[in-house]
Amino acid sequence: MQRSTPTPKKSFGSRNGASHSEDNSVTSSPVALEFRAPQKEYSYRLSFYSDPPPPDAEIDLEEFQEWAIDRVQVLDALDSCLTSAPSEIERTMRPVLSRYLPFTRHTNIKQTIDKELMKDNFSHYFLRLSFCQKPEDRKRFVKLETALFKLRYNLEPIEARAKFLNDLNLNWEKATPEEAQALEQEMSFSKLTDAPASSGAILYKFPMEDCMDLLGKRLVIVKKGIAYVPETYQLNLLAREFSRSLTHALVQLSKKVPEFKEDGRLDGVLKLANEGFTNVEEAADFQITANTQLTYKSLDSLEKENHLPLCMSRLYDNLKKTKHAYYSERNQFLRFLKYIGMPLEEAIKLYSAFYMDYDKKKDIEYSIKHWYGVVGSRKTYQPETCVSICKNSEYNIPNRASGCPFFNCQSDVLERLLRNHGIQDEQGIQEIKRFSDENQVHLACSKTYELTHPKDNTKHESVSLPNQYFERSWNSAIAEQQNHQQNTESSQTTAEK
Amino acid sequence: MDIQKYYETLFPYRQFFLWLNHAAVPTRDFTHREFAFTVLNGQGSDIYVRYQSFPTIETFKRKVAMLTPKRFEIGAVYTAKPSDHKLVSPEKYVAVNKELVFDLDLSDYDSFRTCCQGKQVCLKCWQFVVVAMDVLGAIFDLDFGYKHILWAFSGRRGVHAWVCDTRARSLDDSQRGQLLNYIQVTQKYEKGKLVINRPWHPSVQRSFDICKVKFDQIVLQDQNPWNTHANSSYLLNKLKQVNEALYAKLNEKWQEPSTSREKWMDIDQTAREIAAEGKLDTLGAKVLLETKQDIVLEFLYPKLDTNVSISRQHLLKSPFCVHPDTGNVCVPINPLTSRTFDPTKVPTLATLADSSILEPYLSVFKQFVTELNRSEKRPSSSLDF
Ligand code: SF4
Ligand SMILES: [Zn+2]
Repeated sequence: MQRSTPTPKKSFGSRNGASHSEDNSVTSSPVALEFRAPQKEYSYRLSFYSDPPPPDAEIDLEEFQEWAIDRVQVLDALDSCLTSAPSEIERTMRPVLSRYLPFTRHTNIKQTIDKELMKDNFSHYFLRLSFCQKPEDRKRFVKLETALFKLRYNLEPIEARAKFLNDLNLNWEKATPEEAQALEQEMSFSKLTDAPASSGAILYKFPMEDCMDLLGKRLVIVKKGIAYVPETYQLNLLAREFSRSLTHALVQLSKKVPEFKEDGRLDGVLKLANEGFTNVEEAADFQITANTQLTYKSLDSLEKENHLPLCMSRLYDNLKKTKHAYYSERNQFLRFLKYIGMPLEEAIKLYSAFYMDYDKKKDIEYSIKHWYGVVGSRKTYQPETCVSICKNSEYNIPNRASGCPFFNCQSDVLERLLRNHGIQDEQGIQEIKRFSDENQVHLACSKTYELTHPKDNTKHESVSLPNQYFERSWNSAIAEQQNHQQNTESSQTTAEK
Repeated sequence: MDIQKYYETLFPYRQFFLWLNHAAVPTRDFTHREFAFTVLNGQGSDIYVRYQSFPTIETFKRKVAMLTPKRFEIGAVYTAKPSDHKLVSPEKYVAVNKELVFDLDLSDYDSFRTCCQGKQVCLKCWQFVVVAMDVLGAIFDLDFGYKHILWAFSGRRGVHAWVCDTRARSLDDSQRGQLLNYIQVTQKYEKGKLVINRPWHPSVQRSFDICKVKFDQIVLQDQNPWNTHANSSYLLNKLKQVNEALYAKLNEKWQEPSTSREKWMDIDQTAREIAAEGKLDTLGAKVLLETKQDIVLEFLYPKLDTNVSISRQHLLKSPFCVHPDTGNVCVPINPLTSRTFDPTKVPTLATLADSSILEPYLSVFKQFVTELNRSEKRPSSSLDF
């Protein structure tokens, strides 16, 4: 094999690997952020983050970093589905949130709640530090945090939203009953999409410049420069306030950063903020398999020749069959494809060839580019390990083709998959199913490899990531071919003799 | 009168300065404002000189005297002096302020006017501009609450609108884009059919009402676009999409010569007939009504060059310039008499021998500028730069 397996350490995805302990300037001292704000109890899950972490908060640095990294995960996932419909964003993001930035409902344990709120607040402030300095970073951060805010707002129960809104004290001016009444006729004239036509509905008054997006869609009535905004759109307005105050705060903060640097107060944190994120992922050393310039069409033959591990062949079959791919399915497949050497254009072709839903194509193209690191955060995503695939709750949503089939399939489904995969050996199938029942996915997968690659008799360690499975299979095919050639050559030479 | 003399003696520099500067002493609104000149070089071809800026109106005037430009344009106010734009880094040279401008040109109406084409203009097709000014004027005033709108003849076959309210000047590009989305009604088509959400937004309804009143005179009578059977295919195609029976009947009927007005009336008449025969249901009748409404809007709704309005960096020809080809002065249009403005009778270099003919236009401009400056409550701190 031409390279070693990737170091699971430092991968963004796996929590166990999030250690940066090489840098001793930042280790093992609790991070105390010296902001001026008073200690405050976090009482909402929704937040404008107007209160920085209390200066006396003691938190383990490693945990702190981990929190920040988790938040980056959330923002990244959001970035790659931002153009989807709100319901799709919600579907995609729910599992991501519950994994990285959970808000446990139905719990009375104050400690849990406090910790979750603290994580939310701390990680937000940490990222402020790292994204405040360059205008384009600020813009992206504000965009994503605002999207996150909107998403969470929608996930909150109505009473919680109302309370939050009320306590925010935004002083939005309401139209007087007379004004509202005068507008009622016009409101019903224009079917302001699902605006409440009934009387008594609240209309907020805003300078039109403050709600140009609603204006541009002709969703509000404007009179003499004042827009009358139905309550339905209050989230738009709230989001606007949110991004405005965050932008402002970031600009203010960016001015202070040099000061912080000067007196060394935030050395450790800033260092992380500046360097940590960009370096973390690139540290892994998995190379793109160079000898495979794949076209999307070659996937069929790769599958036929058993080069794809079961998880990937399931994803591929599912794409062909359903002409659709959920975010998680795309995500998992693309990270694999990229590292077996499928160029970006081919990946795009693949999805446009099979994808039916035309409207979605643009989004998909975007998310493909995202995983290839050419748009969005432009990060280099490393191939995923089997462990992280299994642990990713997003992949394990029922009725999806994502994840590891040895981990998330009922045994009858798994059996069908194995037979489709070309395995007939009854005893083998039983053995694999047994491994799978015990969550011994590596063994199950290795057994699958063994059964589908009878000619490969090299001794292998067990499978630990799909790309390794592929490479093993690919290399063995090449070896066999060379062998074959040598054999024919030598037999030819013999014949000539 | 030659152009040099015009710029020396008649161009209203003082008001021009007050208009753009919003105060009596130079502010950034003037000193950091971009101007561009189009000048003739020795070989007789045009050169376009951008990034000009001036500390005072006198220096501006001297430059004009020196260059004798064919025309000049006004751009945005930047964070640095445009003449210094090469000396500062790009992020320090950003457009911050500019009048919200609109450009309306009759050449965009060519498929809707029969009297003239291309560069020509007459009083008949000018009425398209008049309606457009009415529609936009109502939006500016009633919807957006803008008070300071300078309308100026663009020198040949259109008008420019300069919305000068502080609120409008400080809109950024994306806000301008949204504002244009609000205004634009007739830009979205699907399968040859106009797409406008119904029921209409009250603003669209009002614009339609304005257009509808003028439709008979301007379109059916003056333009008479469907005077022959061959010319009527636009109309027939639309009707075909509504109802085959209606189409068949009218197609037959219109083989005989008739005017556009008669044809327009034929539609409802025939629709009633085929409805009586049970070939047009209520839904069909509704679609027919909407199609007719769409036609009114397609003909008369303002057709705007949106880029000019959206990008603050865009420059626009100044009022009181002389149009290089026609010799027309780009005079402001008096809002009170805009309906009777005659583009074929504006002052030209040739007629300006009698300089008094410029007077009324100068006084319109002066009044506009005075009102604008009265409304600008500029804090004195704006002078410290
Ligand atoms: S063990 Fe790994 S390679 Fe095998 S199917 Fe599961 S995820 Fe894929
Ligand atoms: Zn004409």
